[in-house]
Order: sequence, then structure tokens, then C-alpha cells
Amino acid sequence: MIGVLLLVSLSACRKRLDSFLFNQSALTSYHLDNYSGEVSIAVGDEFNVPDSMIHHLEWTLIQAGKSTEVHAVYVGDVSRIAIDTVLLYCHGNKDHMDFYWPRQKLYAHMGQLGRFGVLMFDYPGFGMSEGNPTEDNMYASTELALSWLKSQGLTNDRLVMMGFSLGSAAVCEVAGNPLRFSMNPSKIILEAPFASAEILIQDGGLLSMPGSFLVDLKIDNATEIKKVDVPLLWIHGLDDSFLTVAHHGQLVFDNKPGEKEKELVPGGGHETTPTAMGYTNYMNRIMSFITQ
Amino acid sequence: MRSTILRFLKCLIVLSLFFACAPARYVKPLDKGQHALQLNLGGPIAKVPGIGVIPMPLTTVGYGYGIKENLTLFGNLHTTSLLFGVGQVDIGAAYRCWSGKNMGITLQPTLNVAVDFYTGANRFWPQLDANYYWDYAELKTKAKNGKGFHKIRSVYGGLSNWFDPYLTESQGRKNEQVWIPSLQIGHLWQKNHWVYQFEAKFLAPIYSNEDMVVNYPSAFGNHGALGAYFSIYYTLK
Repeated sequence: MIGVLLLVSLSACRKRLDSFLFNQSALTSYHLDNYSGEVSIAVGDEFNVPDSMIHHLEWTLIQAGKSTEVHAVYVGDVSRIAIDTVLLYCHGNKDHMDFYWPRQKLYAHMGQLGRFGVLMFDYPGFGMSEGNPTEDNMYASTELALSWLKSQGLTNDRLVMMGFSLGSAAVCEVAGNPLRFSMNPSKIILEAPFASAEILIQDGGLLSMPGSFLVDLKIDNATEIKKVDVPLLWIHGLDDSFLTVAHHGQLVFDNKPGEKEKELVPGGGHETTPTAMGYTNYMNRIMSFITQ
Repeated sequence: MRSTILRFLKCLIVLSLFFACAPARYVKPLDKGQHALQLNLGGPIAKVPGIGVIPMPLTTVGYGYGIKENLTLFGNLHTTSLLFGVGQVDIGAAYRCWSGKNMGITLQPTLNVAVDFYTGANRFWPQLDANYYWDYAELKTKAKNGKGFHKIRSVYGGLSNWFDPYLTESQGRKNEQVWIPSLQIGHLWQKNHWVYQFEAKFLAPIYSNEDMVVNYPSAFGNHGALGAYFSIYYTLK
């Protein structure tokens, strides 16, 4: 009987829910300020960035002999990467960089415009980046971003990584496994991180099911963070009902050894923490963490 | 992120509930020596984007055998979970512990077993259901050619109890849903060898569905979910 079940199961194409974690949209070009679709947060003209500071980048990801293009946007003076502090922003799972562009502009204005270079990139399958949206591809594209920054002269002590939601997985993967990546951040910031794919499943259901029943995702920030020895700033909206503070961010924070800070934001939802804090307060909080 | 998490969690909820729910099995035990093949379709009612509010089309197939007048053994294979590489079966017994005129009370102790064929991860969930049924109508005819028919109409209601014995979840979190009760009401149409069963289930009404972000119709507002099931049995002796 078990053999029959096994055969039936293995002969079928095993259904997985991994794709539900990636909500990407393809683009033929990036519009940034001219993008008319939904965006993560709305910011005013005071956060505009001159075109001279916006650099569209393309990298080639080679996997199993196949090349795919990964797109990125750097805001700042590329020639100063060798001496500036740079924030590598790993965005969430929605759409593409146009969706998160207002956030990149905020970070570019921390302190003053251009004080920190800010690099954002689209994971494979997002925006103009080619390939499939998978956990491995997300990490591979993060490595591309790190490699590029290193090639521009950035050193670990001036690299800060920030991950929002899904992007927290990329940050924890890099910071928790320093030998596997070109660079390692000196500090990390996690906004609305999720604890693990398995906890997503267990929180979403009534039974304590193993994650493998439904997904292949191995994302486990709550475990990866135990290996991270650089300072952490955790930001989370108290009204985030999608990745709750108690079931997700708090677990990650509690498991983090060493230096760590938290900013729990009353009224902040999953996407709206900057709005709930007020942009100035939000930027100042991040900047003070980076510069202290 | 919000919309995707919503979709993701909805799907998880559906599947999680599907792991935890099926209609009542053999509310009326089979006759001694009687065999039954059963096909079940249905699940939690969910709002599916682009489609509407529907019961999830989850399926099980099973077999039952009446070893005594008041005791039926059964087993069911959850075919939808096979699509996920997870073999899930429920095996149990239906025991009529009390009977009166045209009515009875049955208990269904069941063991649910789920095994991931790819990783070996597994779970065991004991279950104990109790149902009361009432045959409110019976009609027998015998035609001259000897064929005739035998019809019985029954209603039933009861309590289903799932037990999740894994006290610790991922990252050492305490499992706060060790007991998962559900309420069910249903109707049976019997005609000769065929039995048709419809059941409505009020799934886990004691647990909030708010943190799960579920847009499910529920008789208990922000608690639990509704399920709808249709089963067909073919019986023969």
C-alpha cells in the first residue's frame, strides 16, 4: 500500500506553495518617479533624487552555464563607494523596484541627500531581472550586488544591509553565513522580518505541520540570526497582522545574540511603518543606528 | 507583500484545514459483512479570487467493512495531499454505542497519519468523533419483477475532536491548539446500494481566525471556518 502511494505521489508533479511567497511582476523598463502603479509608500517631492545620482545597473548571473540579467539601481555617487557608507536594501516580495523606489529615495535622504549610497536590486523574476523567483536565486542575486559593491571599493566596515519582509531572508543569509558571500555587513536592519517558512505555515494553520508538507522553502531567519554577530536594528509595526511581532519579528530578535536594538511602531502595519513613525523619525532612527 | 501574504496564508489555511478535516465517517455503521467504497469531495469554504466562495474541492477515497452490526472499520486515502507528496490516510472504527428506535449514537475513534514521501517528515493526529443520527423516513417497495427499492432518510449531528499531540512547534513555540473541535450536521440519503451524504461543518469555532487573515464565511464571526462536504458510498454484501 505504501509503495503504491509512493509511486502515485512521486509520479505526480509535486505541488508546492513556494511561489506564493514571491509576488513578482515583470517590467520592460523601470519608471521610478514616473511609475503609475501601486507603490510601497508615497513620498513627496522633497525626497526627489536628481537623475545624476540615479544609476541603472545590470549584472549577469551565471548558473549552470546559463546567463540571466539582474537589474539594480544605485542612488549616490558611484565614484565615492570606495570611501562612503553604503546601504544595501533587499526589498520585499512585491512587484519590483518601481514599487519600492520611494523607500530607496527615503534612505538616500537620510542625514542629507547622498550621505549614504543606497543600492537596491530586483531578484530574478522581479521587474526586468530575468530568471525564476526562487530562494536560491534571491541569494545568488544578493551575492551579485555584494560582488559589485566590492568591485567598487566598498569594505565590510562600510556596508550596512537592510531587509524588508522577504528581504530579511537575504540579509540573514548573508550575515549568518559570512564565508559564502563576497562581503559581510557591519550592521543589519530588519524591517517586518518573518521568522521562517515553517512558522508561516504553522501560524497559518491549525495543526503543527512540518513546512515540507507544503513548501520547499528553507528560509529560517529565526535560526540564521543565531549565527549573526553584527549589530541588529529590528523595526516592526505593532499593527502588522500579516507578519505579527509576536510570531515573527520577536522570535528573530530574541534569537539574535550580541548587540541589538528594536523599534516597535504603534500603528504601523506591515508596509506602513515609515508612515506611522513619520518619515523624518523613521530616517533618523535608521541613521542613528548606522552612525553610532 | 500584503496581498501575497494574504494569498499565501489563505492557501495555507485551506490546506491546513484540509489536513484537519473530512466529513464524519460511517455515522451509521454498516451491516455485518457489508463492504463500502466511499468517495468524498469538499472542504473548508473559501473565497477564491476570481472564482467566488466555494468549498475547496478536496478529495478522499476509502473503504469500510462491517465486522459486526454495530462496528465498522474504515480507511481513507486523502488524494489531494498526494499532490503535495504527502501521503495522508485516516483509519478508524465506527462503533454504535447506543441505539433506539430509528436512531443511534456512534463513536468514531480515528488515527490520521501524514507522511512526506520526500523528507520523511510525519505527523499523527488522533481523532474522536461522536454523532447522533435519526432515520426520519423509511420507504420499502417491492415491484412485481422483484427489484423494488429501499430508501432511508437520516439526519445527524455531532462533535468532531482532533488532537494535535505535538506540544512544541517550530522554534520551540508552544502549540496552543492541542484540541481542535468541530461541529457537524448532515443528511444521509440511502437508496439500495447507494448512500449520499451531505455535511456542513463548523471548523474550530473556538479559535480565532483573525491572525490568520482568513476571508472565510464562518458562523462564528472571526472564529473558525465553515466546511461543506459531499460523499457517495456504494455498499454491497
